[in-house]
Amino acid sequence: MDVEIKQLQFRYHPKEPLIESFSLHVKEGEICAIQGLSGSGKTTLLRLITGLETPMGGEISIAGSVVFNQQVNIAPELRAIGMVFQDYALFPHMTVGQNIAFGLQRSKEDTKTIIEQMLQLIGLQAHEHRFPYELSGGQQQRVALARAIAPNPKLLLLDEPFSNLDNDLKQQIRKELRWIIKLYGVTTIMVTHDAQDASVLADRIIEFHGA
Amino acid sequence: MLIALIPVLFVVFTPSTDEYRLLVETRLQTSITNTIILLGGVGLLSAFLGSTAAWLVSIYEFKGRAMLSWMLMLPLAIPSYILAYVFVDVLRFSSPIQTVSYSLLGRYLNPMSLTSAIVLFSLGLYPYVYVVVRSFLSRQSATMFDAARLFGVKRVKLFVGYGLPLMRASIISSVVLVLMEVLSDYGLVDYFGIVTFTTLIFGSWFRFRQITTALRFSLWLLIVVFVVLGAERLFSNKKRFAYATTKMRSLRRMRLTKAQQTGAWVYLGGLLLVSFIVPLGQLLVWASQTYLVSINLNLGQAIVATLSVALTAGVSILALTILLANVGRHRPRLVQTILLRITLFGYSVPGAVVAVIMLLLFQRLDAAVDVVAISVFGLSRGLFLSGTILMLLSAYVVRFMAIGYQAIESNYQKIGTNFTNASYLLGKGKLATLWSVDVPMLLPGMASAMILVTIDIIKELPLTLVLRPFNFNTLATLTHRYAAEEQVAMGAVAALIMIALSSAVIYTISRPRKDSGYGR
Repeated sequence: MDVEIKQLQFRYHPKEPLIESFSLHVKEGEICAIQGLSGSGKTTLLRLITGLETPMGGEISIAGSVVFNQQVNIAPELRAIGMVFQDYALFPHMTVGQNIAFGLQRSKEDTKTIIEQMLQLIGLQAHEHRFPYELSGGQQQRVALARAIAPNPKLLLLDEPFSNLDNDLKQQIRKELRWIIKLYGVTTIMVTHDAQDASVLADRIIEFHGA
Repeated sequence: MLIALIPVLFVVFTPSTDEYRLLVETRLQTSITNTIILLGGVGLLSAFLGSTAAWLVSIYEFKGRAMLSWMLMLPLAIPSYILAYVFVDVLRFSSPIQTVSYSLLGRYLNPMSLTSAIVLFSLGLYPYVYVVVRSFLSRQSATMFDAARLFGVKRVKLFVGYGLPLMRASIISSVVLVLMEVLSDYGLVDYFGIVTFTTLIFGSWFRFRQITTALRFSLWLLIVVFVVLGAERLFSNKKRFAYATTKMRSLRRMRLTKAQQTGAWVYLGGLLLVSFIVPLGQLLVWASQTYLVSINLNLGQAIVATLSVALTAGVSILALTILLANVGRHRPRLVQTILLRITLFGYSVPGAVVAVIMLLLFQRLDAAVDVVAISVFGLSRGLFLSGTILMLLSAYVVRFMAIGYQAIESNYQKIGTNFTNASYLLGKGKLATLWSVDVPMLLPGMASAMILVTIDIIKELPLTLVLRPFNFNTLATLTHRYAAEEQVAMGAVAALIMIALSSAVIYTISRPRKDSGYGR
């Protein structure tokens, strides 16, 4: 499912454009890394794609359907986008299983099957009933990924996915994450400030400088 | 609330009544003088008591410090008017204290004077200063005090020269809270016969049934409130400090010698004794003398009434604050600030003023309902909403919304917006997100908001006195009724129930907790 961004514009302050005429095309199943310095507007770009922020102009299409332009602005919950937040944002009052099931709108049996599949995929079968605070950083990140891809999104967004992990863990998780995403075949955009993250995980790297 | 304040301002343009002119001629000057003396006296004394107590338990280590540290908050559980009832009896003509006073000073102490009011307000309200300053000191870096000590600064100078300037902003902001409580008080000043704006507002309504006269005095009182709030801004804005480093080492308390420990105990224990233990003891004595007659149907009804209005208003406040905080959190900072100001405003406006505004508002509402009733059904309904429990509940909501809003809002700030955004991106709508993500995560904040609001409503007197339906008594109004009928001892059981409920809340909130790991 291709993603097409055309002439995207955004500013927080009237006289200071943060993103000016940004365009990008990501092919189906491709992992595209957007690399740039802190404060360049990378996370804002992801928020614009999700609909959590509204662009000042431009167009965003996901899988051939326009989700934003001057006439259309689809609500975030209807865009079918999965996102892994920088701090994972796992719901602390829900178990691993409940977190993964959160976005699923299926029958009880189907939900159970998907949770099992996801747990197997991320290698945490024994952790279904644990709470997020009982997991290590790497495990939390895998649960966040499983929660994001479980509803079968059209697009997956990763916001600085390795910034909370220490170096040893990073090496291992990067490859694992790429393997899972490729196995699932979901089109992915990640933002990072780390060149090594981008080179290991992504098929294509784009340098982002903001406006 | 802001809309409701408009009538208060417009009253200036209506002709004043004879009663208003009479009260202005005979009482206004006394009221202004009394208010200034009360505010000045209570401000200074509560600042002194609260800040010295906070300093002692934060900077120094001594036996029993941890226990004293939370017990010093307990006077908050005793409403000022109950403190007044107790001390008037403790200082009665035949009491040992009066005998000692006569033999030492050659005169008896007047238990119902302005000075007594200052002392009693300060004893009951110093915990506001104590709590704020103590929490401020707990966030200070030890290195600053270490540096001062290396320069050879002695203990008293450490407090006066380093402590006071550092604590200044927190002392000022907490003293403002104390002054707001003093301006709101009706029970103590009424019992002592001290004329203040609050007693004038109540007098205008209870004696003359004149809402415009009550509104005029409300305007006077609001001017005093704005002066106090303005003074706070003026004094505290100029002195805000920021750290030049992010490396903080928390305070390590200094050990006191045996003699110094005794000194600390005498001071802090004495403070606790007069502000909490003596009043509690006296109430227990009264209760033991009267419980056979005072535990009756009236008391049972008052307990049920108190808990039902407190819980209903508490739940309404929670629902409204969650709604407001939700509206605010995804909006720009300016909208959030405006919302905060609106809700805080209710808490800055004294209970008597809120009561008068509510009376007026419900009279207008009734008039509107009547117009509709006459035009549709052809008959007049008279007073439909005024004097109902709905009026009292609405007033509680307006008055105490700020407490709930602050507790919920600070929890929302701690949680951030990522959880909510994650829920939206997983396909959940606003309502589903609120129910399945926000509310479970807000539970600790909701619990503390509910507890704080409920306790404030249980102790509330002025609003309840004016707005309660006919023959409706809460524990606070029942205690006040007995005091007004010179039967203070009969209200002891009701007062003790109020104190027990409040003390339990203070203990629940202030006791040390283990970290559950939730939300890490």
